[in-house]
Amino acid sequence: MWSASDEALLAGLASGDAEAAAAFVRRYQARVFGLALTMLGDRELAEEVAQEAFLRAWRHADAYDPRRSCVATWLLSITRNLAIDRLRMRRSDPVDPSEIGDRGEVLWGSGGAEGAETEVVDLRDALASLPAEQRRALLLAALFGYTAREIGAIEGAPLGTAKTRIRTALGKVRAVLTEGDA
Amino acid sequence: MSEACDRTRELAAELALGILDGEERGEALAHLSRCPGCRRHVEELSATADELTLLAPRVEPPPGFEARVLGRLPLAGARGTHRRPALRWRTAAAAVAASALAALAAWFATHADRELASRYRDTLAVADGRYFTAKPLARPSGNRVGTVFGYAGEQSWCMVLVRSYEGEPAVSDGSYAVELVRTDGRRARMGRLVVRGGSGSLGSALGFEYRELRAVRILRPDGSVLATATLH
Repeated sequence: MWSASDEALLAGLASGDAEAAAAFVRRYQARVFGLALTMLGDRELAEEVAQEAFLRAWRHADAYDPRRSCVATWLLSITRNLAIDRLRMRRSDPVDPSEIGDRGEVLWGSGGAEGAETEVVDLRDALASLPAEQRRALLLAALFGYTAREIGAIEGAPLGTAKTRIRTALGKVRAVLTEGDA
Repeated sequence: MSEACDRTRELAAELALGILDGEERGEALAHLSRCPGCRRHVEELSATADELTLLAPRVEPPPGFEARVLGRLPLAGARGTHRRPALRWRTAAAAVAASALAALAAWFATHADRELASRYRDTLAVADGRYFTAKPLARPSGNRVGTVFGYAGEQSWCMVLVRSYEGEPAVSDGSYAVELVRTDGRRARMGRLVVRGGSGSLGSALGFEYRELRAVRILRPDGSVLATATLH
């Protein structure tokens, strides 16, 4: 079961196969919990979100399209969306720029995801090609769910500038990654 | 590209990252529902936005996490799991299928859209459903003649819709037997599909688990297969 492909485990999970479901959870729990914890900064909330992410994966397994993304990315995007929902409910306090300004940089830099999967190496390279302010804006949005308005406040930049940074950064990362695929 | 396209492209990155709210979100979504080009653009950006989540560090969850997750899933033969509570089954009315279908179609069209995904989840939650799928119904030659919708829940059902497609030969008017093929090879008659003016529909509850439904076939009066949809 441990050697089964991600897709096969997901199919097993969808069909209610206990062994496949257990293997699926074991394979991805550190990633899912890690992302939830990164975004929420609270272990209890992160566990709630991580559990919910696996339930959603089970419910929506039939909608997974391998042509669009790998299983890990699909599952992590479910996790991120759930975490963003929680953040929206919780984040009523004013943002403290000094506390979070560099959070994204830490993840992007050497202290980030361990392991050297090709995708992660490619992502880091793509991010390295961005000006620091664009990189920070993109990571604050993608990994912490901050809106353009919040990023503008954190960075001390007008809303329009924050929006432009996010848009330009994501476009550039996409271009670099697509180039790598070609 | 129209002015609305330009405006949507400006918001596309925020939409793909899931951080767009309020009026701007509504405006962008409304445009996406009408514009395949912008929809494709947002889908591409969403794929990149999703990849960024791979940067998060892996952290082992608290002890017992796996068991707690598995305990919430209704698994076959699992230890310590519970079944969903009994469901009050209501008829699979075509109207219900149609509204669920609308939510589903929109959900597929804008992959990254959380708002629509949430509607889809709500749709399923009404009857404690697990998932809802749509598969093409096609002739052996590959020509599309319709769609089969499948719903997996405490009581599963499926629905066959036949219609005409531009450039494809329509199904001739008449009455056709519809057959359910199970994964173990057993077959069951679903009912008769009446086609008028190139379109028709037939819905029925399944007397078995949805995951056991391999295919739905429409048969000609001579018993030959007119069209098939493969579910599993």
